[in-house]
Amino acid sequence: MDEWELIAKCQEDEPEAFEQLVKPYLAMAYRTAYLIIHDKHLAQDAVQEGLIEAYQHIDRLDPKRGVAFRNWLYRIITFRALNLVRKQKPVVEYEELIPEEALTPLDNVIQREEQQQIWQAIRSMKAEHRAVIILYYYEGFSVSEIAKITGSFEGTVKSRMHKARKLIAQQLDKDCIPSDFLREGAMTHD
Amino acid sequence: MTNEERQIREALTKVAEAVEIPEFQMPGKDSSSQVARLPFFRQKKWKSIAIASAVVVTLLTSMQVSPSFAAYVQSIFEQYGGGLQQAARQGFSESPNLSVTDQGLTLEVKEVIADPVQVTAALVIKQSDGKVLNSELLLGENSHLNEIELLDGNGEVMSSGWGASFDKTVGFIGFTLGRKEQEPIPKTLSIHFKEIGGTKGSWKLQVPITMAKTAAATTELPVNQTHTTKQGLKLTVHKLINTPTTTRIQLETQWTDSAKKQIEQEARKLAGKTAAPDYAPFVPYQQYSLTYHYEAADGSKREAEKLEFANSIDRYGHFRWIWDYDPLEKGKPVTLVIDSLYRAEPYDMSVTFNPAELSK
Repeated sequence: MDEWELIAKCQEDEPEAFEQLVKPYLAMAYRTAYLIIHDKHLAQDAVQEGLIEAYQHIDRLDPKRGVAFRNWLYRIITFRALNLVRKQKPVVEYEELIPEEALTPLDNVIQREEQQQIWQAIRSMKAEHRAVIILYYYEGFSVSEIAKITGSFEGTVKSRMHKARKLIAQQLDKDCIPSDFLREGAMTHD
Repeated sequence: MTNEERQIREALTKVAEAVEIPEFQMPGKDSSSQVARLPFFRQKKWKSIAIASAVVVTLLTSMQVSPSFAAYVQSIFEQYGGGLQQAARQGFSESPNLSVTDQGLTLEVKEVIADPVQVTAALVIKQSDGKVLNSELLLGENSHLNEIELLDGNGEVMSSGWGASFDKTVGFIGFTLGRKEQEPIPKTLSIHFKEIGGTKGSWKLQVPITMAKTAAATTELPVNQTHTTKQGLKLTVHKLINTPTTTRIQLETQWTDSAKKQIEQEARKLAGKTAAPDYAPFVPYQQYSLTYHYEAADGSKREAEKLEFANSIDRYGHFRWIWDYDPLEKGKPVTLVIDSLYRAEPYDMSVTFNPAELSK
């Protein structure tokens, strides 16, 4: 049964079809929410609330509009995750470095020094920048898809990506790890 | 993809995959979490209730084109900068001055710029005493439920994929056009906000889109030139489109058959050496990008830009690129120079050593 058939069944009030529909995306959606929020319980809340919202509004999906279910679901969950971050605490700018002792055991799964610095930079940047980096590099969404998921212009997505990569490069440079981000110039469009 | 980009992907993957996936309750299935589905009015029904809506829509003035130098100075797009600012300065913005009030909040469409590659509207929110509120209130918790759609001449939705950018007083919402093969001309921007700054209500506006003036000012330069690099990448520049807001480059790239044979060898070397094993065979085909710049007749160059985001036609590096940037100045001939190709090549970074030797 293809996705649109499952969606049609959901629209006919068949809850089993909804479970079948979302199951392939649940693990990645949760991991994405976790990467954005960096809190397991809040990430669980974001996904759980997102599931309820998706179920309530499944009638909005229409094959004529050509919106992929995955993108629609991610849009809902990403919004939830970003809102939870905003409520959680004031935005922490990258310059305010998180001290080493603030690293959680999960952070320690990264053994390589370079990747540790990258993750530290990502978790320290503004949630809007972090979300773009996660959706692009971890989820593999295109810039235009990220623009739709986050409700931004493509130019804004590019600009956030540029800023985020610059922050990562600065973190690497600070630790004397050579980076090619700055050398290559990259994007300036917004 | 650069080394750092690969490291970003790997770092994210490692952190993400170390977290255990919790159980989720399926709405509608588990008795403890019974959730009712909400009714939704499909497009045709929605249109009919929009007309009968109790929300007051005030048409203050008829549509007009910003006519003069004096007008552009006051354009709201001055705040946005870039191509929209340039277009507004040339008188391509329109001021529909449409507004709708509900729950004591007024949503105004101050200006619109529509050309063949984008439609962008500038929105302002005011409270009942006329004070302009922060436009980020449009981006509330449930903002993804708002319906912002571009309609064609038959009133059918042609796109709901809008983007937004907010500053303190103005919210800019926009659509990118011309990315599909067959695309109708947009005639109406249909806006329905259901929540502004946590206040639930209904703010509906139908904004007429006219692009006769911008379409007349748009030039399309068919290029259809192909060049094959020494690395075996075949570039076909299809065309350049210069609109009041944007210069768009449309090109296509793919590896020649002989290059693919070479790349196939490289792909084999990558087996087992990437974070995503299934992706390894495609890395050398797909991981490349191009840079370009414009050169004026006097030899001056505009800053180089990197083409980084393409649509895949296949998994073997056949890409279609549609790249938008600020518009080129009219009447000043320039040459488009695609000057660099960046590509990923496998590099043997393995080190062989005998542990016993190290302890000596």
